[in-house]
Amino acid sequence: MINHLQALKALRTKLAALAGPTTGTCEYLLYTTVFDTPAWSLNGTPTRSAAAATVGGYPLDLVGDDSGAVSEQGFRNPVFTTAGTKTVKLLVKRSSAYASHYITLSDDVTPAWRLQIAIDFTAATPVVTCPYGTLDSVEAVDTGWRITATSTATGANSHTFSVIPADLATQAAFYLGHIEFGTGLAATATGYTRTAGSFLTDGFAPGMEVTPAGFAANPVSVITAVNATTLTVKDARAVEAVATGRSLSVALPVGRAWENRAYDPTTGSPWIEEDYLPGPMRQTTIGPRGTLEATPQYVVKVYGSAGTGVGGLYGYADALLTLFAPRTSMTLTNGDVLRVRTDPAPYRSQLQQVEPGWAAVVVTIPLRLETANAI
Amino acid sequence: MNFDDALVRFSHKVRARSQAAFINTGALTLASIQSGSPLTGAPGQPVDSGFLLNSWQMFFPSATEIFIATNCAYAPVIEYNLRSAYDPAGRTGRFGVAGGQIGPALPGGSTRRHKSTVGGNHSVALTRAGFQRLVDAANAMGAA
Repeated sequence: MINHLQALKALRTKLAALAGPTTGTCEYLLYTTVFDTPAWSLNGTPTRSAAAATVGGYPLDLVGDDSGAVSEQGFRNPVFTTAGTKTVKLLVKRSSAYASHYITLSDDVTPAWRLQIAIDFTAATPVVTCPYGTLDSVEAVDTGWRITATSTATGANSHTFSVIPADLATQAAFYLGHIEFGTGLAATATGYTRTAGSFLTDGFAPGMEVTPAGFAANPVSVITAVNATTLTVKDARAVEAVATGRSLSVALPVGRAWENRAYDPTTGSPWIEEDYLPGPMRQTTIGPRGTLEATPQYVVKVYGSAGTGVGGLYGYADALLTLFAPRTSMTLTNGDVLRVRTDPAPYRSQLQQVEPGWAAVVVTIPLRLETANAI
Repeated sequence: MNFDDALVRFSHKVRARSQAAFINTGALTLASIQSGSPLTGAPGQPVDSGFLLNSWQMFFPSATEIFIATNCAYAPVIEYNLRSAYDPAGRTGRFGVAGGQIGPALPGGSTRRHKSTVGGNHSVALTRAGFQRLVDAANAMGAA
C-alpha cells in the first residue's frame, strides 16, 4: 500500500538539504609586506624600505629595481586550495617621479598569465591596465590608491605572484603593501564583514537565518541589514579578525513546526511549518497487483518577521522551489519512488501578513507516489 | 438523412457536449472547493457562519472562461492553514480537559483545529492538483 509515513520522512530529509544564499568557503591570503625575505624570493637585489608610508592605516614598503642591467623582482607562491576567480586587492602610492611597475600572477603548471597589472605613475593618479585578468576598480585611499582586480586560479596548480618594480636608473620606486587574495570574512560585534565580493550579490537578505562556519564561535542568528560588505545580525557576537576558510550560509531555519508536534516560534526568527496532504488515491492499472497512485502534496509555510521586506521570505521560497524542482524523485525505504509533479508543478503563494508580527509565504509541492496493490 | 445533415448534427452534438463538459467542470471545481470532493481529496470549506463557504463564487468572464474566486479576507488563512491573529500560537487544537470542562489552551504547533466539524484546509490546492480528474468526470457526465 501507499506508505505516507515514509513519504513524509523522505520529504523531511530532502527539506533538510535546503540551500539558500552562501558565501561558499572563502579563501583568503594576505601579504602585509613586500620583498622581505625569506617570505619573498628575490631575483637580483631589488631595493626595499620597510613601512615607508601608511595608506588606509596599513604600512606600505617602498620598492624599486636598482640594476640597470637586468630586471629585478620579488615573488611568492600563493597556495590556492579552490579554483575559480580570485579578487586581488593591493594598496599603492607614487613616490617621486615617473615610474611604470608590473604585478603579475602566473600559473606554473599550465603556463599562463592569470593576472597582469601595469601601473603607470606618469602623474599622481596612476594609470592602471590589466592585459590579463580584469581590472575592477582604482579608488583613492588617503594619499594612495587601492587597486582591485579579478584573476582566475586553478586550485591544484602552483602559482607565482611577482612584483616587478621600475628601474631606478630612469624611473622611481613606488609604495606597495597590504596585498589581499580572495575573500576574507571577519566577525564584528554586530555581524560580519568581507574583504571582497558582495553579500547582496550572493543573495543574503534581512530576515534570513545565517549560519557561520570556520569561526571560533559559530552562533546562528537572523540578518537584520545587508549591504555589499557588511552583514548585520540580530544577536551580538564575538569579534574575530579576518581569516581564511570561513563561510556564511543560509539553510533551513532552525525553527520547525512539524505536524502534530508542539512548537512556539521565537520572535524575530524565521521558522517553517509543514502540512502533509495525503490526497486521493486510485488504481491506475487493471487487475490484481495493479498500480496504486496517490497524489499527495507537501505544503511548507515559511514565516518571517513582518516589516523586513520581501528578500528573506522570497529567498527561502525560491530555494524551496529549486530544491523541489519538477521531476525531483525521492526513493522511499520500501523502494517506492516519490516524484514531484510537473503539472501542477510546485508553486508559491503571495506573501501573506498573518498574525501580528509575522509574514508568511506558502510553498505547495504536488507529488505523485505509485506502488503495487497488495492484492 | 444525407451525409451533410449527419455532419451538421454531429457538429451540434460535439458543441453541446463541449459546452456541457465546460459547465460541469466549473460546477465540479466550485463544489470541490466549497464542499469537498472525493475526486480531488479536497475537504471543502469549514463552516462557522457560512460566510466563507458562500463567498466562493463562479463567474463567466467570457464564453470560454470560468473564474472562481472569493472576497473573504481570511480565506488565505484557511486555505494555507496559517497561524492567524485569531490563533496566534496555534493553540486552539490542544485544549486541556479537566472534569469534563474544556480548560485553557495549551502550547501547540500545527495541531490546532477549526471550530467547524466539516471542511478543512488546502481545498484550492487539492482541487488544482486533481483538476484533470474533475475534467474527466465532467466529460463522463456529458457522455452519459
